[in-house]
Amino acid sequence: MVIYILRRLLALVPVVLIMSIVVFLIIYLIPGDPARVMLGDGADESTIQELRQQMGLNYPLLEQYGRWIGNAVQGDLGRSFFLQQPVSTAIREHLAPTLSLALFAQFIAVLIAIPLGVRAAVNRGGLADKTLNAYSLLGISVPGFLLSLFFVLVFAVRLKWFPVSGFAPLHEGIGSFLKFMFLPALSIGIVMSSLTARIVKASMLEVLHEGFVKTALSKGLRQNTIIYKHVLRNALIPILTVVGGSFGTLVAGAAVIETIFNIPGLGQMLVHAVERRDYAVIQGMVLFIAIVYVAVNLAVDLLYAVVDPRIRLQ
Amino acid sequence: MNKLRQSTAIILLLSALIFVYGCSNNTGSNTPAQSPGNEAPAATDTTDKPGATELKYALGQAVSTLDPHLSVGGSNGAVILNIFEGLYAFNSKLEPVPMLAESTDVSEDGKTYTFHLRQGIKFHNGKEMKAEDVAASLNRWKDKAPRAKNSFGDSTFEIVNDYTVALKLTAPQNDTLAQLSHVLNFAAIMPKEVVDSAAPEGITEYIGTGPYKFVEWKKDQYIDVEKFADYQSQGSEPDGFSGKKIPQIEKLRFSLVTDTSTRFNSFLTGEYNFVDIDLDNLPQVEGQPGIEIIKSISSDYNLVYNKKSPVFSNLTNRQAVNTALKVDDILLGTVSTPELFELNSSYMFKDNATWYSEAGSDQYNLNDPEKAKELLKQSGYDGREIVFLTTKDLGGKFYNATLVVQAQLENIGFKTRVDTYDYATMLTKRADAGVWDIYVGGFTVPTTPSQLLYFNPTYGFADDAKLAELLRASTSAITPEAVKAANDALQQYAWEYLAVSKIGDTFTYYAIRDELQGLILYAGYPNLGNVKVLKS
Repeated sequence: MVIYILRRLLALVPVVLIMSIVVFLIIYLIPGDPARVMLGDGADESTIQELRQQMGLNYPLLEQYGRWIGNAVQGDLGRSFFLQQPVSTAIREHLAPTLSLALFAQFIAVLIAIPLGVRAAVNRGGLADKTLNAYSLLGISVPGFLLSLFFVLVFAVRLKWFPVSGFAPLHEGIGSFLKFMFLPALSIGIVMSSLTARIVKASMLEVLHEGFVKTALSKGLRQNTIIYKHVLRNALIPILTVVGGSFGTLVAGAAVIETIFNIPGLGQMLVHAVERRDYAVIQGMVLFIAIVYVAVNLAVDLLYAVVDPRIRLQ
Repeated sequence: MNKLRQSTAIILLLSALIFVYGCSNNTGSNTPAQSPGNEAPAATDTTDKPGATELKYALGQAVSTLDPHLSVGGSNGAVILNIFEGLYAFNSKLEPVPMLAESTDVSEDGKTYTFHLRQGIKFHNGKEMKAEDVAASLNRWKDKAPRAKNSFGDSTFEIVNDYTVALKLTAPQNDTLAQLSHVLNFAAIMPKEVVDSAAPEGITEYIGTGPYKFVEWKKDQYIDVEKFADYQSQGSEPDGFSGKKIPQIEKLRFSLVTDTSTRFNSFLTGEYNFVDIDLDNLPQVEGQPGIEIIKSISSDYNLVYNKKSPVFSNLTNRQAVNTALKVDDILLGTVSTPELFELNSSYMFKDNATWYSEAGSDQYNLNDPEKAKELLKQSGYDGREIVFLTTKDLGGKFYNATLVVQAQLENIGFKTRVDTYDYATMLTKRADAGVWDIYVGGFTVPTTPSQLLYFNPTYGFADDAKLAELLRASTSAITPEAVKAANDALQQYAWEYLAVSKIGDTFTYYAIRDELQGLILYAGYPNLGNVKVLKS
């Protein structure tokens, strides 16, 4: 197991290395000059050149990459001229809102998807199944940003139950945290749950036809025990894969939802960074996203073994 | 199957209800009030109500720097102008009025300025403002601000005594006081130590003399300032950025809310008392009790020719474009309603008391496609494709304006192409004379001719000895009559040389709640020095 984890972590190295090179090249190939953006319209050429020099943009590309990767392996992702702080600090500060949004949204998604998917599979063709069909169709076809704009209009502007936008960290109290987080998490949660619920249903259906279900039934077990303890557990592998994948996407930053709800998360930071060519932040973020994906996938793989003891990690 | 239909119907019905509820409009339909002075409504018998101590002000763009000398736009000025002050400040007619200066003596030849400073002015760190601070600040400003560098060259601000600073110029520069008041590259006064310890990308401590003291800047989120208890207010009536500033709130937070609809929705729920509004959102607030709609000047639109491009280095081609333009249509395409633009042939806003001029207006808004076609024939235009450089960022208005101009030029026989980039790329491309021919854009706060970027060789590559000479003459004239004559001559010639074709001036709507009083707005820049928030 430990060897397995180490091997997987080791495999991260070439992935990150190749990705960093690609990203480095892409962002230097696209035009746009951070010094010019920072100094604004009408800044004079000599001041721009002075700042470029200061930012280290006048060195040859290879040398710039060498410096960056050299520092990165020592844990130093560079410094953002725009944010006037180290990139690692910036990522850390923006991680909390994004992570809490991701967890909350995932919680809502699972809360809706599992019961709905399970009921739909058990009573195939029944009301739950039909609701699931209509719900997932809506959830998949209505984009998250539209949903969130409607939620804002109805629950924030008209009914005034929730604030329009903003973020309150958890340590300032669970009440205000939930107040700010509910609408964005619900918008993402609904979209995510519609896909997850379909997977739950499909995966449950497959397992329901297996022999051990008949055995359990004939043995006289209670239906709920069979469904939730035996069938669901055996159906969990594909569900975990989907949930893990969407969670990874969320931690990388839900840029659109974060912008609509003005949540100072990673997504917003990345969008700002691209807009003003804050190279250090873009590179740091890409590295971070790569690590998140690998970590989430690793966690999912480890969970497979927990869920299904027949799986051996080697 | 029946059940499926039922559940689908239920869900469709529910979403339709939410949709209808969300989109329903329960407002009246009054037309917006026009506030000519761009000033928020005056206080109306509210003296006995207790005021709130905090105000939140939404910014639409991220603040890139709080260094006044380096700042050239965006939301920076909204914050900077409330923390820092200069020797002079503009009133609503863009006339410089003393702020930190008591008075200024100008020698008869217009070459020596002696600034007498107000005494007892405190910086936010408690130190008294003296001549050494003023000289250090203004010498840094002069080096950092391209506009000032062009005008003042090697002249420096010298300390005469503790409360007097002198500037000796090699040639008269009649807009010196205006340049000291300009909101772009703002000539703010800060302690000498702050100037001395500044990094190349900007100062690291934000210490000024303004009515609000810097507290905290959470990058890309908010900037907190608080009332400066030792603020020494100037005596005259508030006008533009000049005059008395007596803030009646304790804490002020500038929050970054980049999304227009989020900003607007937050205004609707009362989180903010003031917001810029899109035309689409206008019906939702128009005629609402307790909300006033004001219209304030925002920017002037110009079509900038690349004077180094193969097509537009030729004056006849520039004349052909200028002859073809129908500016009403371009402006309508830009701001979507006749309410939000005004035709103006001058490079200055109409309320600019010193520099507005109607000279050359016979070349404005010609709308004569037939004559334009003839001019193209004369110039021997060879059908080469001309490239418009534009961006959809900053609200998409530049792009909209560009498309209308493109149609008008296609109409007279130009072959055209529009290259659209994000803002950062556009800035880089525009500095490269080889990749574009025409750029249509909005410019903020034109104040004096020397401050107009496009008369300058670096922006659109104007290269004309006569233009430079007339520009020089307009800023070296001394008497008001001579200034007017020189300015008229400059604007007349500018319409012949056509560095740009002026399109017109545009406005923005703002919504303001009755509870917020004393806010003064000019070209998107707020003077929050006298604001008061009544409890609703």
